[in-house]
Amino acid sequence: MAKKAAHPDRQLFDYLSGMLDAPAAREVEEHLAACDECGLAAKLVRVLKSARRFESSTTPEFENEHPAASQIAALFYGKAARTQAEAAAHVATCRSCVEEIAQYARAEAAVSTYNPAEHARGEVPAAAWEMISEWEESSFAKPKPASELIGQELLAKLFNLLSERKDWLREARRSIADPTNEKGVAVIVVDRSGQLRRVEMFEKVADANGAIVLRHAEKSDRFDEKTVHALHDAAGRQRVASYRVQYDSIRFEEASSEVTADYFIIED
Amino acid sequence: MPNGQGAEAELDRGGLDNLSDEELVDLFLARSTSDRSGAHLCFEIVIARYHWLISHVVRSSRFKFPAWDSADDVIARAVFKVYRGLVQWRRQGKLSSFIARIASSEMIDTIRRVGRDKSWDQYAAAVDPDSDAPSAVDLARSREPSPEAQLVSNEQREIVDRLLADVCKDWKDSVIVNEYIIGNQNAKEICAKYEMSEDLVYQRARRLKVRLLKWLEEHGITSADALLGAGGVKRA
Repeated sequence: MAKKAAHPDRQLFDYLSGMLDAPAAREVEEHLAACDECGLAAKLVRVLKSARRFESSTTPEFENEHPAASQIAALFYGKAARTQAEAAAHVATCRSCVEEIAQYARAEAAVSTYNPAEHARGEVPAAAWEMISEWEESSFAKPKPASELIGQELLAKLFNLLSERKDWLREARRSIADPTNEKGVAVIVVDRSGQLRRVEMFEKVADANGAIVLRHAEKSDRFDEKTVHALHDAAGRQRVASYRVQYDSIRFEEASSEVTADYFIIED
Repeated sequence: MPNGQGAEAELDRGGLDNLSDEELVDLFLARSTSDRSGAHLCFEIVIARYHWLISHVVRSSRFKFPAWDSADDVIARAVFKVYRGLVQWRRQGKLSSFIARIASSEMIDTIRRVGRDKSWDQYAAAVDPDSDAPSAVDLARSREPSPEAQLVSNEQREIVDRLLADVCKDWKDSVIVNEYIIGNQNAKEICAKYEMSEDLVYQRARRLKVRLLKWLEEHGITSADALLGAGGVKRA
């Protein structure tokens, strides 16, 4: 086997892509004939090339084979999270989804040099005001009934519960969660005084439209129409977002589809 | 702004202009439950700052918009989603990044949706509802391989997906595998497309090769034939 330092990695990939001229290609072929490691790598790359996905995410019959747009976003903006490994594997062979990553990369490049003061001020488009107005008139933007509101006192109790019972919660999650199931999300059930009752397991799944939802692992409807509160504690700032369980599932607003919060259901 | 001018008397536009993004969004959120026109005014200032960015994200895409869904429509939907989503902004990231992400996601949703609609239109045009003759769809060659071939290929696909899920640590690894290692793109093109350096492409490709070979070794695969055979792969 050739010495490690002698592996012509760059030329190997260029050779496998047909980008080398004849003399350079011959050199790589000679190396491949003598080096088992590079020989295996070359064969593996050929297998990977044959596994490339050409079906577009915009083709109806293949749309379910692609990660949801929110998963592509989570892969781009996330940091090596294990839950994104599936999306990373898909993007590595999918021509269509890698273009979506390019879209996010272009946007981030624009952000890195963007200074609002250097650009003309824009206006909210009239069509956007119409959508905002319709949304505000709909039930989604109406204040919640008092029974669904989570007061400051209860919120403080929930954050205390998270920090004080950290070990218990970790153990409870472990006892009900299948450790091989990376899609599991634990939802903590408390009473209105903030006392811990139990932990319920939900699973992160994509719905028919590709949107990420949390679905009750037992597919029970006993939480339907109940409110789930997502508690975020980011950089010392605590905030809460609330969602309704419908048909055993929790559906998120688009921008919050990364499952990164602690979840509570308050039972009366 | 669709609402009256009352709130503007309370909130001074010039004063709002001087607020930081964090202060402006906090004020927007505080006002959105009690003073809608005040919240709208805050939002106008947010969009005054970031409209150019949203427009740039949408218009710089190579996507060709259909007549019934223009770039302006996408911008309007993105602005609406920013309004709805401001409550979700996590302050450790820049507001510009949060807004660009929403605009990009809207762009991607649009591309996917428009593509699907176009496909349906194509099929619809070929079908004569009164004809007994098999339609173009019935006669079309199946995109699927034979069931036997599919079984083997599904098994291979599963192995390849497992391999790549373990080896690709982030989106840059995925891009380098896709575009450089298996996609015949040169490093310069990748740098321009994804805003990364040429050295990074070569370094990552080298590390990926090492990780790919290590994975094969850990899973007892000593030849590419064994990988194609798939069945004998050990779980590490």
